[in-house]
Amino acid sequence: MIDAGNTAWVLTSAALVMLMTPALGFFYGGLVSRKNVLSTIMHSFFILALISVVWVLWGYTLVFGPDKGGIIGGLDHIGLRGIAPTDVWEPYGIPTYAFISFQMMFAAITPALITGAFAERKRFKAFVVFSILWSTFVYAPLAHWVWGGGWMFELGAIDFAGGIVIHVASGVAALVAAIVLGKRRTFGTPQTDPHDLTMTVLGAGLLWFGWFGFNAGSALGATGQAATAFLVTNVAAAMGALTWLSVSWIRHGHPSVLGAAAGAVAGLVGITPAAGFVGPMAAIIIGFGAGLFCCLALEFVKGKLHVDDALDVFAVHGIGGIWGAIATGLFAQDIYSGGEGVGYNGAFFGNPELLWNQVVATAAAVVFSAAMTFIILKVVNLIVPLRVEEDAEVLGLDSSQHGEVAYQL
Amino acid sequence: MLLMIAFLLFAVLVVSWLVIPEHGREERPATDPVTSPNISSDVMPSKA
Repeated sequence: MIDAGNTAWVLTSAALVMLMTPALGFFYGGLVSRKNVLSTIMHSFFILALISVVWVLWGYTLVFGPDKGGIIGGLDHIGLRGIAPTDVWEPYGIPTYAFISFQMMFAAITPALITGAFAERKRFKAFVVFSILWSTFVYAPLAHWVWGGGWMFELGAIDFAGGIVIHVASGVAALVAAIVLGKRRTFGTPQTDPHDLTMTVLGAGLLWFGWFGFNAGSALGATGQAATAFLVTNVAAAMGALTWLSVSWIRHGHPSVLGAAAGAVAGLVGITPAAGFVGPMAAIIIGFGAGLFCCLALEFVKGKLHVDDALDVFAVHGIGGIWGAIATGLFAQDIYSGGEGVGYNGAFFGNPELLWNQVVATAAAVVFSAAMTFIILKVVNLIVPLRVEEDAEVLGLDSSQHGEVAYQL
Repeated sequence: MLLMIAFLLFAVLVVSWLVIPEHGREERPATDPVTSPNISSDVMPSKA
């Protein structure tokens, strides 16, 4: 039986999440130099198209097909075979096609997040092959483990909207990619300064907007849990922005616009795994932790480790995702996810086992994503070199890879 | 049948992306990125 309200909300949420991928392109695009802005935006825009096709051909069935040993979904629904427009995704009363569409947008944005790590130096062909392989061999198994009835689900780990599946996985992959590709030739010079922060703030605003679909839509219904997720999403984003801005103000003497934008995104990342399980006060703490830890992680990765994660994907999504997943194990409270005996309690509400499950699942995601990303990058490098030549990098990827430039002023 | 055609079309696209030669800047820069005064400082490598 189709529930019209739930269906309307999930379809709307799918559209909201779709907007996040080009929004990410703007967020990233403003942070690079102007000779690379088109190539950076293109990474996100192209991946939305690429992974949408991958998703219906084999992605969906690998994640949500019949479970095979807790590891991967079976191929029963390859090409969405065997799924009819009248099928209903229970117990939510939404058409299975609506669920497939909603999840498609998650699959698309996840590899797009990684692109910030290798901006300004990765060959477009290598990016295409990498994205297909990463989506197939990293995203699909991880998503199955958590949401498709795999071993993390059986373990009892919870991830409301993708803190582990999306942000930990992509953040760690970004760190590995940055190390494997090496630094930009301009790393540490003013030539890597953001060329247009207005574009970045626009992107952050659109991401914030789309994140309501991302998190509240993950309730898969127009329910109280969706309203909770909506509220805590906004609260954590706000607190993340305030915190990162404050840290950067204290450390550098300016209330940074970029700090506010990055902090909002960090807060959104942090609340993602917890959104349907925690209340507004916990969201304030989670947003604060995300703003603080991600800001400090950024300075550590670039300043101490000297890893050129160009657009700070690991610091924001990796650390933010890890913090959010652990915080879920601390702050989850059953009144937000179904009530006593049904919902989830974390360590602060008498259930330390959930915290342990979250730690195990997060650690497994870190190791799996790091190892698989390294292997995939090495394989791709055998097919097509990962990095552009020096003259192409100096010229800029917009011209050398795409034959276009962004600004004809 | 439709499934096979869909897979085939996608495979053809991906393979074509891999085998198309990269022309780069000589082929078609929309604006000459080296001489354009508006972008030259960003495009040119540092002289320092």
